Amino acid sequence: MTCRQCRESLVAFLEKIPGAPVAEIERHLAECDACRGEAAAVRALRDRMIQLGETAGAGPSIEQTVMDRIAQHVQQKQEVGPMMTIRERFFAHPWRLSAASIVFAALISAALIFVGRGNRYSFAQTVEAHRNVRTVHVLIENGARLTMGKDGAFTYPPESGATEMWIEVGEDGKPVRVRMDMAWTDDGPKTVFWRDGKASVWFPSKNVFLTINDTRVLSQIPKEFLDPNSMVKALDQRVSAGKVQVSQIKLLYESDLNPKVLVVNPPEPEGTVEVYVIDPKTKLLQEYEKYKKKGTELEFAARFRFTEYNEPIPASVFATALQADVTRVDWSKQEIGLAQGKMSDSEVSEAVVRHFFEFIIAKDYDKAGAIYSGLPGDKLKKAIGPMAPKVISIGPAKPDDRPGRKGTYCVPFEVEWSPGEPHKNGTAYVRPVEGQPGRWMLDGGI
Amino acid sequence: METDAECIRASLDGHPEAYGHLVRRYQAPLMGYLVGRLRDRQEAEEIAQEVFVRSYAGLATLKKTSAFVPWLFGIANRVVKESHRAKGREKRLPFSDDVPARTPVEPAVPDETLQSSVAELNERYRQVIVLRYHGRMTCEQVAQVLDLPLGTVTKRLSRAYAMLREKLNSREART
Repeated sequence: MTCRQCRESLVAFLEKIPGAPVAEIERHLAECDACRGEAAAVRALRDRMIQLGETAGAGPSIEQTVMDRIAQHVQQKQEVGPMMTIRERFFAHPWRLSAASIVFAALISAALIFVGRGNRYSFAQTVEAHRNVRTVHVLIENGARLTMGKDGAFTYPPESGATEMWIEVGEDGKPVRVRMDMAWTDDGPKTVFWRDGKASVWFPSKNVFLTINDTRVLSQIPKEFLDPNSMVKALDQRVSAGKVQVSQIKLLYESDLNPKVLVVNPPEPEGTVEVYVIDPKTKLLQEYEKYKKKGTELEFAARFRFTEYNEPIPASVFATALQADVTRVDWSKQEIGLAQGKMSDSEVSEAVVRHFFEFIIAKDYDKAGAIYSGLPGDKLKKAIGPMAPKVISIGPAKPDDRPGRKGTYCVPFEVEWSPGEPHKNGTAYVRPVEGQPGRWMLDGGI
Repeated sequence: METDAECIRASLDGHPEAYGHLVRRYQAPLMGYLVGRLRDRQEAEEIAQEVFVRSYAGLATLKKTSAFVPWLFGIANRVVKESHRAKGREKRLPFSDDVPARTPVEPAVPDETLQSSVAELNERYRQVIVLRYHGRMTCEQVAQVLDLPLGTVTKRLSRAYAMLREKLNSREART
């Protein structure tokens, strides 16, 4: 365990969070003076905080006063229950969708002008409010393990973690800086940065920092992930084009202080129900939720919370403090993979795998690494070790039909990794290089 | 009367006195949280009373008795917000002679340096710190109250510690 990893997990360790790497941290603390000092400083601060918290809570009992008020409450049978939004009431239980539908039917929807008791809200106010948004902090539940395939398909498996994003957009509405912390993806946890027209991805579990010079990286991210301004604009356009109908949920305690809750509920028995929660004061989008509709049942898919609108984003959010031994791969400076030339997609896929093995056999690890996603030669040499492979067969390549893998080719191969060893079969994955048109690279499988 | 669940069930079964156990049990953490957040003991006490009354009135809507504590603190957050909104409206009134102006009461705390440093934290870090220590909650409970992933809570706690240590160092260097 490195010092950085130790310090990142220190709070989880001290708080005894399940899954914290306790044994590794204990081992590291036993060996590292600096981290031991850090842990002692944090422990000392926690002790002071515990003492402070205990002092703040001390005081005369309020039990009698509370119980008197409760007795009064029971006597008068007043309904003083905690405020619960209608959204919570309707969406807490799937069967309530049918009840919700009855309410929707009674609402004005076509012009997206909603009249409440004593107040009037128009979605145009939200569209207008979002024109002035430059920064926002986004929390996404169940969106971390989405597939960002080129076909635009993405899913929210229930076991996925959360994603946290900070977005800064320019006057033209285009993203200037973005940071996206994804708790779990197929590559493990990762952080994606968009700065100075370049995308970079930090893979902590692999200790790799990858830089890509390709604006399409942003266009691959679904609009709803990019920024709430785009979502509001897109909804406005969908309504104008008559593609969807939006209703506002009428709250029992309708007032200027309650959020405006808009629902896109397709008439079909199956589809996606979207909920837009609008801040009553700023008219900005506060929350966005997605539910899969199956008959009268709703299944939660994802929730986006938008906070800290137009608050300055701390510089540390966009800073990267990497370990000295990090593997840096920069596709904006290095030519990756193999040029396709006049070869077909399947031909170039097979050629990529063939060239990779040829470079390995020739012990030219730098060239082999350039084919294999730009992996540094020394790292590749270390990974391959003393093996001297002999290629038995490569191909035929065929398109990868796994979800979100459009554009990738699977290339079967048979190799004898060391003389005299049994032959081994495998499947290599080959795909075009982002930001380097006409070039294809090995993406995994070996 | 032992567990929260038993107290809640008895309260719902028409024995409001059972709720007194919950008030006794959670008064100190709730007051700690409110004092830490508001820095005004009198206001904190008024809000704590309101929170317990509302919580009693809404007990039937509590889905899981095991979630009583996060739910109670969630109500506290809403009451604080409502109170601030009401105060905003009060301030806009041209004359309010009939309502005597109240000076926030700074509680005498032994560690004023730390208390002031906590007060200077950005809201989202302060909230996590105050729930964790003044509210005496576990990180899991903080995550439930704020409806955040556990990882975000520990990350915020870690950042809050770093900021607090920085503030304490510079304050202590000045003195």
